[in-house]
Amino acid sequence: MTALRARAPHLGLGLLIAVFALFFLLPFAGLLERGLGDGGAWDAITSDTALDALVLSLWTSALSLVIAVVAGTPVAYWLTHARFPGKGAVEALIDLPIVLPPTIAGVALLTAFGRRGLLGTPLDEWFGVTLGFSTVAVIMAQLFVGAPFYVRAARAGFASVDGQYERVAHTLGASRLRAFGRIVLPLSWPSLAAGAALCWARALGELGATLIFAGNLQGETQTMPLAILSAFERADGLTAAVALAILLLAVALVALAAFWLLSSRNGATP
Amino acid sequence: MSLRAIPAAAVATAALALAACGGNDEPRQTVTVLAAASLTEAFGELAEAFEGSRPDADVRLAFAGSAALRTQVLEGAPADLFASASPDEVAALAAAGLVVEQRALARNALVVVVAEDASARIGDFAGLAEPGLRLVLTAEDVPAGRYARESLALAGTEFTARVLANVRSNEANVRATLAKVELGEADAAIVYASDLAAANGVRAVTIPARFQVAAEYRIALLGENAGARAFLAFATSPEGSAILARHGLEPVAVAP
Amino acid sequence: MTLEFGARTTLGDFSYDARFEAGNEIVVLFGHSGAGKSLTLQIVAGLLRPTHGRIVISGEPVFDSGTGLNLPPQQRRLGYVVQDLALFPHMTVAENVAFGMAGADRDRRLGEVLDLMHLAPFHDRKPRSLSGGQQQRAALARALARESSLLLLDEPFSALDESLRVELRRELIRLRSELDLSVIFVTHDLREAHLVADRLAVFDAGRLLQFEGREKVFRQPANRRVAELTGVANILRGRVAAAREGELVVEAGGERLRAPAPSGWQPAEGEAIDLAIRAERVNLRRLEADDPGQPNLVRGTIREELAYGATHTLRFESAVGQPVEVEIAARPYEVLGVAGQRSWTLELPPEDLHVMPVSPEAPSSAPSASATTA
Repeated sequence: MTALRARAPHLGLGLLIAVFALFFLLPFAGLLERGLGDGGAWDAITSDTALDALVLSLWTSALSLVIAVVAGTPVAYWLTHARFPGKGAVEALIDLPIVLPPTIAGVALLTAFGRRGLLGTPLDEWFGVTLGFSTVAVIMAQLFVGAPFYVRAARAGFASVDGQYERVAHTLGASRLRAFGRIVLPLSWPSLAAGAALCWARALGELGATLIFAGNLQGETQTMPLAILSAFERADGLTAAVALAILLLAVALVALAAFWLLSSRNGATP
Repeated sequence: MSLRAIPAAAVATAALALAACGGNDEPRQTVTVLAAASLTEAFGELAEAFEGSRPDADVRLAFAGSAALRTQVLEGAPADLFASASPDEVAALAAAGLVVEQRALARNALVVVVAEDASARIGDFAGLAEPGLRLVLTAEDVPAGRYARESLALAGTEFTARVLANVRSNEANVRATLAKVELGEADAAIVYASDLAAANGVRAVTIPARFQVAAEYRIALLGENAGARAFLAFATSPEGSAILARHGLEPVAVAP
Repeated sequence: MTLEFGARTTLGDFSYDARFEAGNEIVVLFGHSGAGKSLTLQIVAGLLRPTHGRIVISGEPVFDSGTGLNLPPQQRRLGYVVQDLALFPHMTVAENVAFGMAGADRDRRLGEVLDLMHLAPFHDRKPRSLSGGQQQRAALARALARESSLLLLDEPFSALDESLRVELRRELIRLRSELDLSVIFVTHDLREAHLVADRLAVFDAGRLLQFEGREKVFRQPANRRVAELTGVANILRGRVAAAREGELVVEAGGERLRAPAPSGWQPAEGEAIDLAIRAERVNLRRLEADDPGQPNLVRGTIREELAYGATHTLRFESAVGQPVEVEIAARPYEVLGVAGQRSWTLELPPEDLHVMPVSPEAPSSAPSASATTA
């Protein structure tokens, strides 16, 4: 009796897990089924549009990541240790883009950097610089939605390093920079790597903000997600969209796998 | 500022999700209408008037580029009616055997819109070829974009090439295109004449008649459904035509 | 190597004020947790900036609120072992120890330090895989590798079990004489303080109450609080009946006790004072051995008795009107037959009695007086 009773919830749980897993696996299966079952898929993948979009996506998302890391690391470190009134508000503000729908991010970027935006207007009038419809706008959109993920993870990583280590490092003659490089960085490396991966993935997948802020032009602002959306609206519709989606998925998987391999080899094992 | 095109995509997704959950046997008769983005205001009013005359009816509207809507219907989105900005999209559905009945709905002219405060000196259709102009078109695969390129082609290949060199973005639907000019991000765009009614901060530059390509809207009944049939009849009735005309469309005489 | 230290600061509602100097010796900072001992080390190391004060290490000022000088920790040459050791978990023992080393013959000196601390076999081990004692050695080695002659140790042995502590204390004393170190050693353990200290600084609530040679602090606490902190069991309230040359007659209860006059201050006749005597300094005598010629004999009756094995602690109700605690070793306890006899004569030898002022504020308001006594 007891054995039977004990088994029952396991059965329910097993079912739940199976259904949940199916929910996530089936869309990928669907993509593959459509993509491999259609002769036109290969043509779509090797088209100029796809290659231009892929190249643009890869280098812009990589550059966004580099900017996020270079600028976000000091900010995250400072935020971890600084004490000042209103710190919570600053942290919430930095986290805000994480919960913000990307379309809103796009509109917000327009109101700031668009031709009639707060900063966009003087930029245009004084220097004749407009950001909209440029690759710069693509990177800005990616940075806006991606960087908060990195900063957040970095903050968590830095906070997890006992401040005592740094203090001791100082008493051992280490400058702030050396203590950061030799102590804080290696100890928070897993968090930083996870944050960087998230940031890059988010930048690679960025659609809404790019569409609104940067527009959609092959080779200039049409990244992979935009190319997929455009393909979806074409006469041959889904085939091309599926093909491009599979391509992006494959590239993302390879990049993430390489990244994890790299970070686990270099990573600290405290 | 208005960015109607963006929420439209979200509404479309939500409406489809709702439609997938609901059935047609409820006491209130639900009619799901997928319509081209350029019909946003016209169909909004049309649905309101229809519901006013038939209190038991409940019209759900979803707007997007006609091409996207076509793909969604082909992929099985449950919809009763499809109002397209081009006959091609309806023809694609008909070829797939999804259309029960179709009618011509209205025609729409093309117009060049220019941002009111644009530094650009564009005064006529030829001005589109002016180097340095920040021009936005609707994507080639969406009816509005197709018509715009056809119109340019009528003015010659050399002219077309110069105009296309000015294109900064190919937007997913005509309302997104218009929004880029309204926001001042772009100097000019080619949109439907009917879009002017809902536009802010732009002025129109007419396209000469010899370069005009008239957009033809068609509406298709996708399934046998009394409510949907009634909406189809209403849209093509004199009353419906009057509403469409108010939004800058040229209604087509009722014809089967 | 000398350290001149003086600092004043407030942290929230905690105010801190201390001043002392140290030469080539082990100075123990002793007190309860929160008394300001660890704070002192942090201030010396430069991890915490006091509002006022002046700190000079080997003649070189590292902090001076007057001139605005405040060297960062990395520019103060000292070795600092924090309470939780803080060995860098991602580095090997050798990397940890070498962290603070610079210069050409680094490898040779690293080898020397590792040998000195018996750590050579653990060269490539991560701290996590070391025992508590080995971790302690590694942390000490890392601090010594700075090759500074000032070593700050914050409760360095508190996490270890008793046998290891004994061994490491012995090692510390060995190192001090081998390497000619000045050590500032923080502990709240009275026995440990007594064992390693050359000089003892007693802290309480952010104040340095007394700073003198170990024996002096234990035998002649500056005031009642120091006496309590250093484990003086008997603090008897009395009144000065007569003040003679170098000697006081104190009336306590109905009894008159003779005690040496305190140095540094002169209590007036009729003034209330506290008399301190450690429990192990009180002698037991049989009642019949009463000698009227002998001073400081009081009658007492055992009210409570605790047996610790090696020693017994007896609480007497006594003729001085206050309970008196006596600690007696197991052997005399048996020889005297304490178990079978409740009433005794207690001898409070005058040389072991210490007269203190009643007001605890009086001596602590003048810490410089104790600090200058070396």
